[in-house]
Amino acid sequence: MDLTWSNEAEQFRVRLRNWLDANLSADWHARCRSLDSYIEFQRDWDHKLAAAGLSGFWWPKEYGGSGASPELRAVYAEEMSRANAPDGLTTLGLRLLAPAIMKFGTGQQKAELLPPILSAQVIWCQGFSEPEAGSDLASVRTRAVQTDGGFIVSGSKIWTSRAHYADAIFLLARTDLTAEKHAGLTMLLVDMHSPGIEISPLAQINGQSNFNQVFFNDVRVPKDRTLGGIGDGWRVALYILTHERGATGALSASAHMEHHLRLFRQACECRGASGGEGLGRSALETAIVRLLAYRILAGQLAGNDPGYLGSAVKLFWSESWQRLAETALLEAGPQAFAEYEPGPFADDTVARFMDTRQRTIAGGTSEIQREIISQHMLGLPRK
Amino acid sequence: MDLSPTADDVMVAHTARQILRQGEALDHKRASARLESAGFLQLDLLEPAELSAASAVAREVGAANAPLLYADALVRVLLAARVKGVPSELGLLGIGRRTGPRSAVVRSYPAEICWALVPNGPVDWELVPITDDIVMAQSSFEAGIMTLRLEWGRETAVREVRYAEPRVQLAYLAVCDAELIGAAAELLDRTVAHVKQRTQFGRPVGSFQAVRHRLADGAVALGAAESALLYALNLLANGHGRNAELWVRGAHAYAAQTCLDISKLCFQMHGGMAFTQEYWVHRWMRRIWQTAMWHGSPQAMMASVGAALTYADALEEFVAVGRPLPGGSY
Repeated sequence: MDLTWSNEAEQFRVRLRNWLDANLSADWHARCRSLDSYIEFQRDWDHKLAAAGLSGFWWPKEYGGSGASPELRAVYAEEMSRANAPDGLTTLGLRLLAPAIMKFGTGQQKAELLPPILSAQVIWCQGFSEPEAGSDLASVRTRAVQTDGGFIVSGSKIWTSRAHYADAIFLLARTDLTAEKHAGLTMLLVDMHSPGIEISPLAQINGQSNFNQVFFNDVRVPKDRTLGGIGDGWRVALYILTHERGATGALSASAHMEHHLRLFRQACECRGASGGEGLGRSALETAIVRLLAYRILAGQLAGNDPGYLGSAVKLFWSESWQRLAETALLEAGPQAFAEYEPGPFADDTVARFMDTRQRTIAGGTSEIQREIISQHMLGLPRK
Repeated sequence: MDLSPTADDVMVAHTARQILRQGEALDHKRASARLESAGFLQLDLLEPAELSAASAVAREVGAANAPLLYADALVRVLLAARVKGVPSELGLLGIGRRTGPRSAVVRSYPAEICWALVPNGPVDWELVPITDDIVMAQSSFEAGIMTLRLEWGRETAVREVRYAEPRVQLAYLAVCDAELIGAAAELLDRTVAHVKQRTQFGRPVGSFQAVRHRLADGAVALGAAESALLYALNLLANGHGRNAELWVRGAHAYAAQTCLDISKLCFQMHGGMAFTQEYWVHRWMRRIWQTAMWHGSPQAMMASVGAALTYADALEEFVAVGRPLPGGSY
């Protein structure tokens, strides 16, 4: 077993830590008292990253990145989470949409759409889930009716992070009602400032409001704004979804789990109590998340896609993270609720417990991961 | 960065599998007392770097549900075989007794299984099973030291095993883990095969989500337990002190609990047949429960690890998996 990072990765980690020390104050939360100031802070943050050449540095050279290896990208994910840096507003464009544009986009789309993502000028959001299409994503009902000039879109999307300040949305819409359910879909690139779009924020249990429901009321979309061909939407969507499950997600999770673990340990110490079985198990599971991330990463460095291992690791980290938060809350006792003050940056035992509930739902529910694992890893039949 | 097993370990595991199949044909499997078997592992005499090979073998032994003593013999024989053609090394590795200029007897206790290691060419060794050689074998356990006495023909071998030494206990714990994980992995594989072919309501029971999801959870937990074991072995082989000990104990508690859960899950998946003497599932279940509780309950062991991790520096060291720089965070 060799867990050492390459020299290049270690040097990058040192440079990144120094840069974070110089550019991100530890109390940046305190400066974001309202949603507006939080958004402004993140906008500045995105520009800082872009100016430092860190924004999308793993992109291929031909698109303005440095073609860095998955290893450096993993270091980046880990260090950003370790420093609790904001995700930034451009993250969905950088991580999810851009690779799909590079793969499916026309020459003109690449030239027009990629540079403003890299320079943090255009913020993208993701229009996949709908009120009636969650885990069963291919059931989307949002219609895109073809006209001479392009499409007219009607319907609604939900759980749309960043919609309230996004400039554009990559939207999975149904263009053919008669085709088989996966075949009638098309990926559209839609201007969020178009007439007919309404955004309604959703208040979350952790005091934040990242999610929205977005309504499309006969929104006009030009003809050249399809990514991939008409009817190719499912293929493009799957490609985007595979970018959600890799070593970076697990390493980010483990960095946040370590933070929770330290607070849990401190709480035990403050009460003069031994950590006991709960602390032992939580520490072990936190460390195992790192080991599993390394397994994915080692595979990626050898040129293998995470495949079902990505699902297995996502299932493990999301459930372990919840167990950790639950254990810490149970140890803290009922007074934790008395001390709880909800707010966008609350970081107490109850807030962390509340926050982790989303982990087994977002990015593919645990049930969907179990379906993938039982089918592809264990080879079990579905019928 | 590389987390795959070494080519050597893969080869050793493969050889072990072959020998276990041979053993099955010879009907050499016999249940035997676990405590006595511990002494025969002679892990105090293993080089730390050989532990991963020992674990690879133990995993195969668990998968075959072969008696542990069988494993003891195999571990030692295979490690000796890796030394290749250096008979003087045999003593160092704690292997039974040399019986000639270039041969040795490797045995297990009780004496149902006995292997002679004989040279085959200038560098290779060959294992030859012998069954009628040993006339007496004894062991005694006193003050943490096990003494083994073995007589055959006019030869006598006596060995002392300092089982109470922490490093030996840790090594043994890690090898037990591997055995547990091997047994649980085999049980899970066989159960997956079973639910694919067993039909109810006109379809394979493995197509029902109630079944699929439980098996998926079992497979993920087992992978996690195995990752923890490999890391613990890695620390132990590199001689890390307190952290290695906490990892071995933590990985053991985790693997033990995981394998107990898997055994119950798999038992359930076989339905009523699992409750019959003639069916095979209960044998794996017993093996797993026996091995898992050999060092106390998993909960108690995990609690002792948690108590040690209540100290900040211990926790930092524990979670700093493969991290080149100190890992404090926000």
